[in-house]
Amino acid sequence: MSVSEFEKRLVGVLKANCHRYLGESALLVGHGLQEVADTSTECGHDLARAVEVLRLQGYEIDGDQTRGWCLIRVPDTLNYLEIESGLKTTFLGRSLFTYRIIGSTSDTAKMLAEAGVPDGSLLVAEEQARGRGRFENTWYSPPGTGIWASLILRPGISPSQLGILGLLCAFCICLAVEEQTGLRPRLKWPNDLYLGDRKFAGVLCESGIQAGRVKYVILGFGVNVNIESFPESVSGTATSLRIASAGERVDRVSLLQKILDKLEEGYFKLLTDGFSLFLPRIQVRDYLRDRKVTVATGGGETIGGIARGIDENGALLLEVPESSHLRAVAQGRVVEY
Amino acid sequence: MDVRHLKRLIRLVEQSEINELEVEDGGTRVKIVKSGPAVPVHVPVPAAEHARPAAAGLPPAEASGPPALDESKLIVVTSPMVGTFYRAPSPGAPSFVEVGQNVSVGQTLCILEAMKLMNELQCEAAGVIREICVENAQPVEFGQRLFLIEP
Repeated sequence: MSVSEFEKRLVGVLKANCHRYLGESALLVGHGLQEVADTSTECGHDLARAVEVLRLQGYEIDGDQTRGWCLIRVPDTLNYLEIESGLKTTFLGRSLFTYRIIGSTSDTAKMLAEAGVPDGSLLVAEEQARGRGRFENTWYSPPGTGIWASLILRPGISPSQLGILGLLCAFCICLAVEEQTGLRPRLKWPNDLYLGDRKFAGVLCESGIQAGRVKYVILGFGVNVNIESFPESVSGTATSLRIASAGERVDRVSLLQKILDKLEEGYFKLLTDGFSLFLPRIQVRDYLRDRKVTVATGGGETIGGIARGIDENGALLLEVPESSHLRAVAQGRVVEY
Repeated sequence: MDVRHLKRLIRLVEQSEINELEVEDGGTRVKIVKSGPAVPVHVPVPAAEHARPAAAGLPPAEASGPPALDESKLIVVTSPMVGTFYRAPSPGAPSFVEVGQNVSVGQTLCILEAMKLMNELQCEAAGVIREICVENAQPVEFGQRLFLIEP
């Protein structure tokens, strides 16, 4: 949905004057909303309409035209106005699509990417009817408790360099979570995030390649933020930031903004300086390090060994029996650890 | 204009004989253009993939075996990356393409997975799938041939 400049400004003014009633003239003249009104002769009408638009977005606003309006509560939703205000990025999330409910953000993102939306476009949903993990493993995503998002990128890199984008995204989510909550997540190669021995976030990348050229990349990520409990089938393996912070609620909007901020910075660095730069900071957050693991590399083949970090191409380094060299595994899934 | 409406329009163009559609709705203007050529045209084949010795008079290298496809007339689709080759979006789902099937530009041929990155390999020229060179779920190398397409 589109949000007008008028509504954006109105939210800003109401927030800055939380719990105070502001009348028509205070808003229009005192706070300068008149300047951004569509029709200067019908500002009063614009104001009443804009308040209704905000109420529909979940903002609790008391009052009316005679008493003036007062913001009671900002909704705990990932809505357009909240995400956009305070976003520090220059291109990530600057084109923004928010959904209350969506089949899956990746499916819609793919369609939008094919339709040519700008580089850095972001899709965010409160609820995914069909949350997808890898190969359509379902992801438990109850409404309003997490961040389910997809970014559309058009990096000018070759297909073989794409693998590190997921790793970079997972790393940036780590940094954002650390900053916001003080928790210390770890990164399980190639792109899952763990707190203790439970997963709380994951990254799913998809791309479209034609004639050897990357048309688009969909960088999808899901973060369990305020989920209070999990169904029994996954409670031993899944967690949320709220559970890990002893029940304390985490502000999703500000976490999402931090993720975008870190990711944009990381993305620019990756494109200019390469991936090696990130390695030291990734190694100290490596969940698999020094663990005995088994990796399925496709075609029914598996490799067993001890995980010894990640190399400059984003491959998992394995210490394997009967070899003095570490083996770099670029492709595969860790099936035992 | 909402995404569902856009999707409907795209489908409409896809299934119709028209190549181009432009609509305006509530201040948003959308132009949808079919990406594939409407009639088969000559499709240039990447030179590197067909570099064969031009020495005239030499007998063909493979003289025996079943009648081979004349590869000079085919488009060879190779893997742009190291990964795992998947013919379907998920286990048990129908394959993206089968031998003998007509394909159009932009159509998904397969998924190549590398480090949890699912890469959809899209068709670069319209034609008929003549051969699928790799089994499902097998690892593939950079440059390995995946499909032969007859334009």
